[in-house]
Amino acid sequence: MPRWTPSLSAIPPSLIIGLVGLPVCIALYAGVVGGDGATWDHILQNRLVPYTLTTLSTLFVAAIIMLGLAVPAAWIVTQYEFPGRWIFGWALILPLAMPGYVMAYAWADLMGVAGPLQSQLRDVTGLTARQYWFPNLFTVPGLAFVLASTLFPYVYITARAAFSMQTRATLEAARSLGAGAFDLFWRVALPVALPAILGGLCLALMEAAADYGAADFLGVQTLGVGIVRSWNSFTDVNTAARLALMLVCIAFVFLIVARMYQGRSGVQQTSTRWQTPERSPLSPATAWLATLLCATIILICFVAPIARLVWLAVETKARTPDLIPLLQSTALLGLIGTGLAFGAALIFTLAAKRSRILRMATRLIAAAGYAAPGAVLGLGALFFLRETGQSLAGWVAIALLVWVYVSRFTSAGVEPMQATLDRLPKNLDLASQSLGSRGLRQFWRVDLPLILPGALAAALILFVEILKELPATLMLRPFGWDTLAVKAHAYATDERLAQATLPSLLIVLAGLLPVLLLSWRLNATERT
Amino acid sequence: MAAIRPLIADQVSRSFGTTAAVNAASLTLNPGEITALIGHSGSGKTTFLRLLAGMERPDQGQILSGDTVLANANQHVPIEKRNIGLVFQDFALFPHMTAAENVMFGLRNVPKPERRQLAEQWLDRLGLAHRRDAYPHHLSGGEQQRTAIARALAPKPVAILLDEPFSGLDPLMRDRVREAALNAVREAGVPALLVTHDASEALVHADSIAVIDKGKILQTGTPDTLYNRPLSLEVAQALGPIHSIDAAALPDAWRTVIGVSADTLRYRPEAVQLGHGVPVTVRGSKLAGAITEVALSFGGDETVYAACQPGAPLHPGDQIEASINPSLVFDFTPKSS
Amino acid sequence: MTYKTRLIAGFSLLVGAVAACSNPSEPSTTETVDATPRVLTLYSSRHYDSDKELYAMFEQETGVELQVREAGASQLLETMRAEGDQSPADIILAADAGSLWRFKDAGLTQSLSSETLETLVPANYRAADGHWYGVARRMRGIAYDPTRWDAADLAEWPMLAAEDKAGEICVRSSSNIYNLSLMGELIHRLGAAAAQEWATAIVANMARNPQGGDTDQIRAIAAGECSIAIVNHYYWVRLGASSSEADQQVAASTAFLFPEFAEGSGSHVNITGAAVTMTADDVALAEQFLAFLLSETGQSYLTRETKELPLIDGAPLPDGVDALPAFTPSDTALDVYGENQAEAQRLFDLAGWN
Repeated sequence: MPRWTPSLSAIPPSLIIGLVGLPVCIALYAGVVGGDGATWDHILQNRLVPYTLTTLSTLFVAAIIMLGLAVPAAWIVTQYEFPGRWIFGWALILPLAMPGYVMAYAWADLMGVAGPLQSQLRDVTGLTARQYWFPNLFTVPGLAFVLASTLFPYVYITARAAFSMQTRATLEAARSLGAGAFDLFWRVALPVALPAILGGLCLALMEAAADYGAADFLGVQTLGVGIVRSWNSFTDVNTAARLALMLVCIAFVFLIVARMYQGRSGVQQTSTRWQTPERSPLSPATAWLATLLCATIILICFVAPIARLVWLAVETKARTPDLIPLLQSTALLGLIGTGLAFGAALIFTLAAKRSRILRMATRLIAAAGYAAPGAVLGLGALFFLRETGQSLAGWVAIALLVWVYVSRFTSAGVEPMQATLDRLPKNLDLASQSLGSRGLRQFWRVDLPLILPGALAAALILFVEILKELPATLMLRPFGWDTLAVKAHAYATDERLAQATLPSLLIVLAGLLPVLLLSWRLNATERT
Repeated sequence: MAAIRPLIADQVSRSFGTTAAVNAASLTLNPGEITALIGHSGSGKTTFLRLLAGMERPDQGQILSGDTVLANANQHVPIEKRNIGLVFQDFALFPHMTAAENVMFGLRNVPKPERRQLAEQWLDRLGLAHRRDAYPHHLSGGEQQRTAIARALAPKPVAILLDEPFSGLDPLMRDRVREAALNAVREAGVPALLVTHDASEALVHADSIAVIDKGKILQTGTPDTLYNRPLSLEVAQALGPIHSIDAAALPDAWRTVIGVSADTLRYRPEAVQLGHGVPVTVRGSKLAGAITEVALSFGGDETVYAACQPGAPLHPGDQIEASINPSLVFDFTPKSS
Repeated sequence: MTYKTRLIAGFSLLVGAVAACSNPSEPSTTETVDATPRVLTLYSSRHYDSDKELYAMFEQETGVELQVREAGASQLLETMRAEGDQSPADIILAADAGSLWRFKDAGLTQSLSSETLETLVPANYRAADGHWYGVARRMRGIAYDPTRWDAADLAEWPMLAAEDKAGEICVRSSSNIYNLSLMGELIHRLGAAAAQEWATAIVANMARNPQGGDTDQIRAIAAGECSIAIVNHYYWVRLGASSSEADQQVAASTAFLFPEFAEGSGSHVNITGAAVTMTADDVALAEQFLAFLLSETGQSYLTRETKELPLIDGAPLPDGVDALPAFTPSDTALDVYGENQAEAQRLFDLAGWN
């Protein structure tokens, strides 16, 4: 190892912020200066408005579905005692391990005209496929449903943390003033938790906006699809980058709206003595209703698609690819990427406390990376590669790929850490000072443990994200470094869903462990 | 308006696991009176408040508002149906609402146009007219607590329960806030419970005091009764400093005045008065706020402590005289029957 | 262990990259791993397990190490552009003639004149200038419900635009490369205006919005949602050869045909093809690999799992393709697909073909 004594104070955080933002900035710059031409004219005249409207309506529907799934679930899990509550507490995070494109394959198969649901319907009713109406997954709401069902855990995690952080006294005060369960939720708990929930929602929507795989498979013409189409059909990467700029702008609008809301009432817990409210028991009927609600969410967002994939794999006797090298490269890339993205997120979070300008810069840079599709960031990395005169192999490839991971996912790490730090205002200052003056040792030993819950959540979310990442990995991985996601994609693009099942399941399994850790950690922090 | 009724706890018990947090506690809160409940932490005072409020259910006994049962072994009126005002140590204001909105929260039965007016009246009464539209995090601690009191009183509750409401405040503003707050509570004329661990707060501001220890209510009475005639050492300790002394070590003159009946006696420091009496030697003195604590010796090993107005400085070794006020000397030896 | 060393080295490289930012004059620390003397690097937009077996056989036969990067053709193209002279790629393998043309157009391929290859590959399945050679054929045709249509009703692509096909057609989205290539040939034969008109008529005749993959379109026929599906032949063949009974039934209840553009025009053909890159250092070795793909073994492995059609006459046919009808290939030069690709997408967009 190099004899480089790491001292964070030696590297101005702004340099790191710049480094993290570079791939997305290069790509967007290319889009701004080089995007003009016949392709752009065509897209501007004929496609830009539909792409944008489709994207916005998908995000709108997805937001409603995510809030509808995550917020009530988080509320009843933190507030009430009912059969299976403990299991649901963590199981509701599981869908996060499902890549969106895998979810799309599974549900397309389940819901398709030739799928089991419609076939059963026809067998039972004797109708033909043209004689009845069936919800169509290959639509904006369908895509929104698929994306929401894998991304709602972001909202769930933040909502749950926000609900469990409310002081018990606040809720009891509300009840003493005559608020029943309904008022308690709508008039007190929800408005208080809303800023945090909006943060989680922003994250989930940015991720949804950057999706390509699910949208393409479902034939929904989002900006993500337009980006890849500009590239593949028109061979015009600059137009692709310019469309990505649109996505980034949408993300910025989300951020600003969320920020405005968060700033408007300046909702803050005034108490330092927060205490998780005790869970109230429910009447047997209501308790089972709560169980049913949670079970349905998990069934729809996790069990049903997984079960379908497994069934497909068994039915068609899918061959098993050689898994060991896939697992190795997936794990290694995941760990390196997580380590570096985590470091970047930490620096972003701490730097954000130093000045308003840095705070703004970190938020925007992180959001731009998160909202831009992986393929566009990969493009930025390739532009960079061109300047260096290297070939995309060996360590250059790994470095570029990891760089893109960091650039893309830092935002997903910043949010949970920021949430924890916001709860510890004094310690945060300590932490940021330590960056400047007291050195790393102090930081590791004193400040980091204070933000551990958020930091852990951040690390685990990053790991799961990188595990699932497809487009950049596909583009930039070095020779022989196929990951599980790459393999699943290879089968799926060749329309071999059954064969895609095993690698997909392994992604889910590999994502499961960190997700379990995360929920265990969440439970632990709630008990304090 | 219906007559204001007392809030009554009758032989109420509540256990958590095998620990009895509240054990057969009885207490009557009379309308227009502030009853202080004092005890050290873990004594069960907060659980007792939570039982009254309806946040906990009693295992045994009953809670009544006048003759209406709020809770017993079979029934339990939930907190939101009791209309009992609550004030917490950490204020527990709704952070997303302005002061006025906080006060309006409980006024759902009031027609809309009057709500705002009523809320503003309450805020005005507590000296917060200029802070109506401020959010809680822009209010000082004292302002937050006054808002909380306004919020609790605005819906005309049948009783108000205050859980260490002033202990979180800066000592400088505490007296002012307390004065305003308790005046408003008293004016409301409802039964009020002030849970506190601050004996002087209870003595000065409460109309009656109950001492709780290990879940049991040891004694209830006026501040005067409890301070001057505690029935147990625990009660005596709860209300103020108390010292013990071996009766045999006292000078004969004092023993006669007191009428010694036990080996160990307890006394409040102000029982010992400097001036005329038996000769004593000053061992030391220190200024403790408004009073001076003086350690005295009769010549032996025993030390007696006196609390007196600061006067001429006393130095160790000074020879002075002291007398004893027998009404502040207690004998808690269990009577053998 | 090797991974561990790689990992550590990876970290030091990243540190090196950080340092390089502040000191551009510092020479790169990348070490070239030059373990084996003969390495052939393949950039492939195909990803089949059977290809891997084929590569292994080539390695065994020749002692050459094959290094393969699999990604989308556009991504590979952009990667090669970025790598420039430094690209390790020797051979490009792409599953569409249009893609091969784009590599050529970007100046990334070189002309290879090889008597062996020219003898093996019929002239219409390779670039006239030797920039790429076809190695297997993939045909875009239609699967249909034989109880609903006679083959004669569907014998030519323009027939799909007729009004009697209203609500009968299932097809995937227009950005799919095979749709683009088909459109490319239509533009070439009919002109842009007529091609757009055709696409507009198809959109009007669609049973549903374009969605899913080709297999989904065939399944939709069996499910009764439509009766005509524009798909590549091998998806239909694979359903028939599937181990799932349901899939076999889907294939059995549908028929396949290769429409012509007009009577006697021949049918639309697409290819998997290979090109030698500008940066290939060992052209002879590259040629050897191409010849290997065109050998009997090569042809058999290329098509066995994919159910493509071999390119060499007399090469063994994969199981199941005998169910396909006979056809005459169109004589359109395949470079047309690439040349017309952007125009094809533009016309699809204008026609409202999602």
